[in-house]
Amino acid sequence: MRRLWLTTLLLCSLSSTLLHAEESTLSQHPQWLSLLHFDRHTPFSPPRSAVIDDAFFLAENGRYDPHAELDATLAALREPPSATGTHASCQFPARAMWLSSKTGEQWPSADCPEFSEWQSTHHGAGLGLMFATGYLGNPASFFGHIMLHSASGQSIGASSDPQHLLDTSLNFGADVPSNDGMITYMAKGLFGGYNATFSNASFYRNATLYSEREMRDLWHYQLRLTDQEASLLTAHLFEIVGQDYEYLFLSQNCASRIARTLELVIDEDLTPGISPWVAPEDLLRTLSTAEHHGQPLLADTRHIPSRRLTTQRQFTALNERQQRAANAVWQEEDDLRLQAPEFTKLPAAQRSDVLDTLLSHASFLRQTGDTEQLPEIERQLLQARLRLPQGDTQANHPKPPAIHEVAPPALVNVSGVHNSHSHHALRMKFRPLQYDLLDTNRARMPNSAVEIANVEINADEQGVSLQRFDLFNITNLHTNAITLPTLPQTAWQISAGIHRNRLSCRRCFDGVANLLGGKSWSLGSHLPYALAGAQLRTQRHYEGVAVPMIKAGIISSWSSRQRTHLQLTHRRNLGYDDRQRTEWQLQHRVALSTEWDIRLELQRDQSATEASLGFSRYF
Amino acid sequence: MLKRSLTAAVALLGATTVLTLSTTTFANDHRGDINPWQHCGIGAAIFDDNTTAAAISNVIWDSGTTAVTSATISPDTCESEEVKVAQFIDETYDQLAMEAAIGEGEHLTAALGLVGCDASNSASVAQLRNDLSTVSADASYSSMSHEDKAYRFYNSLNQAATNCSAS
Repeated sequence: MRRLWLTTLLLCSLSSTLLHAEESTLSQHPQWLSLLHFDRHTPFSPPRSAVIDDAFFLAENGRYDPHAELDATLAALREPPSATGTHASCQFPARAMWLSSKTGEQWPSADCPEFSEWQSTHHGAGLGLMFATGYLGNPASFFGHIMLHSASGQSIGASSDPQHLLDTSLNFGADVPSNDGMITYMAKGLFGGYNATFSNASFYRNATLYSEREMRDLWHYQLRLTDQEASLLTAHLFEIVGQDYEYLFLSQNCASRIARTLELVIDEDLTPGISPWVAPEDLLRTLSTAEHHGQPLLADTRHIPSRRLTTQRQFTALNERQQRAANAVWQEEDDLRLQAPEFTKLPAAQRSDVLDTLLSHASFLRQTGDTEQLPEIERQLLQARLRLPQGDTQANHPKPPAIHEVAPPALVNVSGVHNSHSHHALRMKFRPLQYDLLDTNRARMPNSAVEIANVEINADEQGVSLQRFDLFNITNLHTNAITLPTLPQTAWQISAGIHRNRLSCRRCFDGVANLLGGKSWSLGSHLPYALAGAQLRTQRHYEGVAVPMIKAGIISSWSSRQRTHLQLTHRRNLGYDDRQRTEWQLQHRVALSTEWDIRLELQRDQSATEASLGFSRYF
Repeated sequence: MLKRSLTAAVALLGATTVLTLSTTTFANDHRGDINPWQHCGIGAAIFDDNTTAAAISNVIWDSGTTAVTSATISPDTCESEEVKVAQFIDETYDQLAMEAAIGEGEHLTAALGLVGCDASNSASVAQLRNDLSTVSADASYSSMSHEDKAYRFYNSLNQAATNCSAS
């Protein structure tokens, strides 16, 4: 009897030890850590969950101790259910599913009405991502925005779903008080102070915001997940919607959080481990090359054009007579002439196309600034269109390249330089983000540039020296690509950095900030612009802290691979002395592939002329 | 001359006020089914006018923010499918009106789908076009409130759904 008791005790002890060992292993399992949103270890902070809501954890120390949270979760799952919807398997269905699959345990059956409704809504849904392209109306949107997307009932590879507006978006965004100003917003965004949450809404709301209001193209990235993976991820999304997370604009943002969430079912690091920032584009590029169960993870992409692009496409698709008719009908913002002979003489089907384009343009104008007459103009357009037969006769438009198919944002350029004053040098340029006016790809905001932390270094017989540093250089030429009337739109450029005072001087550095506004025009493949404003600067080598400045240039697109930018800059030292500074610069880019290009640059100021030729690598 | 201008301005203001009141009361006085705009607070600050602020916050959505403003309407009523249809119309009315005029489009397809109709059902689309033609025939349409336009489209869509189920 004593032997039997000892044997039983030993077996229990062994079983307990084995169970403990198994739980220790499970608590460090990557999927368990993903379920708890424990981010990768960093040298600067102990491991912890990015979720800051106490309600997300069942153990008192669960945010910092995945093993304690595992113990507490198992204990809660084994409890018999009490009130409807309160059992741990109702609150944490993904944890319940995953732990059941790992331990083989079955949990007491519980009534979970909220989760059942969630499951029913997302049953059979295709999970993927929705990417909104960059937007220059807000610094936080320069690099685009990304959301999780649940496409109800969609089969993998389906290129279009007529009901896609009713899909669900899960948006990870910072909860910003409406009274926080831009400075507070940027400071808290960069250094901490905001919480963020996942929220869910019908996709049409996001389509309205991004496509119709902010004129941003949307891209749906459809992922190839198994039914089991989709089921686990769907259950996990139920767990995390509404939970408060840490938020940092550069590293704890929509892209990094969605990457961590997807890593629950994708056994791959979806974001760079050492980069100080994670951009939506980084995540999409990783997803586009990832393999999952021996197949490409990315099943398909679908383009949802902005209202601006839709109108441009419709106008461009009109024949010459129709375009003349459109211009005759709507010559000025507040003047519609539906009796214009150029329009009335067209056949009905062609008039329909013209009116469809004008209706779309009216929709565009509504978002870019109302004119007093716009509601009446829209009414007249609606009435005119309703008198014609229904149906859109315009052809489908080819899908442009998606963001992962164009040149990556980081650039390294090595050039040989000849300077008429200091002779030969080797120049290395590094631009971590994002794109410039010479980039010809169509996946980014047209006729704009966002350059961050661009640094250029020269090496010559006198040693290594800084050429220039641009903290940021943001340009939006705001060009109207079609000839229909628009409200005046300001082209602008804002930049700050450290520049040489003149081409002939190695060490004449000053801090410089430029603020310019003006206008641009679209002349076929050429885009001239003129900007005026001021330059603020330090006075180590300059005279005058603020001087007026004008800039004029032309960007010419010769083909999809070649673009030239000619720019003339003039600064006048009003009130200081008579010296004026005029510089010109000619840049030409030849894209060899999405990863390589050749750049030629000529520039001249009052002190020297400089020419450079080099190769760039994008990554 | 000044007196004449003032008289004209007062007359115009009066006419506008009467017009605004009459269009607003259309939605308020409706005695049929629930008016989601009136009873469920649809359209109340889903988007404010400050799109910059909306963009800054990346817009935190909450499908449960619609307020129940009538004691006779229960929260369940405002969670109904009809209210979801009304929310869709409220949010996308401008696109819906444009696509109804054209006779096709993704928003129109989605709206018809929400009420159980196929966008290829020509009778449903014809109903929407006819109703929009009627409501926009008068110049007062351009000064009509967004809520009234959306509510009229909502009624038109419900009628189209009836035609659709009958066909």
